Amino acid sequence: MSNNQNDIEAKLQKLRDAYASQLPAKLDTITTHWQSLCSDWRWETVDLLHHAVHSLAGSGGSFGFPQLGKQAREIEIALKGWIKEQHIPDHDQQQEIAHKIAALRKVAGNPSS
Amino acid sequence: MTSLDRILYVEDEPDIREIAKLALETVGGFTTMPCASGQEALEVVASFGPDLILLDVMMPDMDGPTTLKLLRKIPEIANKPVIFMTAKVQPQEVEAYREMGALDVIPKPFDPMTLSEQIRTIWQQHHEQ
Repeated sequence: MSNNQNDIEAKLQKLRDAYASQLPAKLDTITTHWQSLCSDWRWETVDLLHHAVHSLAGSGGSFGFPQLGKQAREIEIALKGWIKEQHIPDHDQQQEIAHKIAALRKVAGNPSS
Repeated sequence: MTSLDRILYVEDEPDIREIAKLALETVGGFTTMPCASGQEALEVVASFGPDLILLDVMMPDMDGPTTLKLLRKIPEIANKPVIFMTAKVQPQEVEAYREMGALDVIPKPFDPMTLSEQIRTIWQQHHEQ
């Protein structure tokens, strides 16, 4: 590997490490929004949650977390559909999202999976 | 063919902006002007003088398509090539972005090691037409 490639790899790794270090706070935000929705469904909170998962969906793969990005995309697609239809999810749908959010945490600890 | 050197890049997410800067400058050798919003892009675009504009679609306050419409009103920028970047890459959405005047759409997440090459390919295809 040339010096230039080594330099690029080192810079990339630094950015990946910074991204990984910010993930717990981002996942806490997602969990907080979701818990808030489960007790009191508000569309402005849905928008905040949608923005948070959209951000992960669009970035995870670039930072070495492809599974995180895919998992976040699935949540984003569900939320986008509910926003469009103004549909409040039933118990089973809420359970499904809760599981997907829990799965986000698992893959966040496992880069390049 | 017009050379591609200066890229104005508009993205609201700081971490994505950082990795795109690395991908475009260090990997691709381009000169970039990263902007955190459509408003910031409108303020600096004329003085920066980009060869190409790279626009995120989903941004708060002013989204990519709205930014593009306003950029087109600036005489020096009216005909500058634009590429959208978005996670929403359904075929009909890509077509809609092309009808707005975008050369193409690059899906997110992007690979930082190949982003510049993707852009060069789109640029060449555009100039061969």
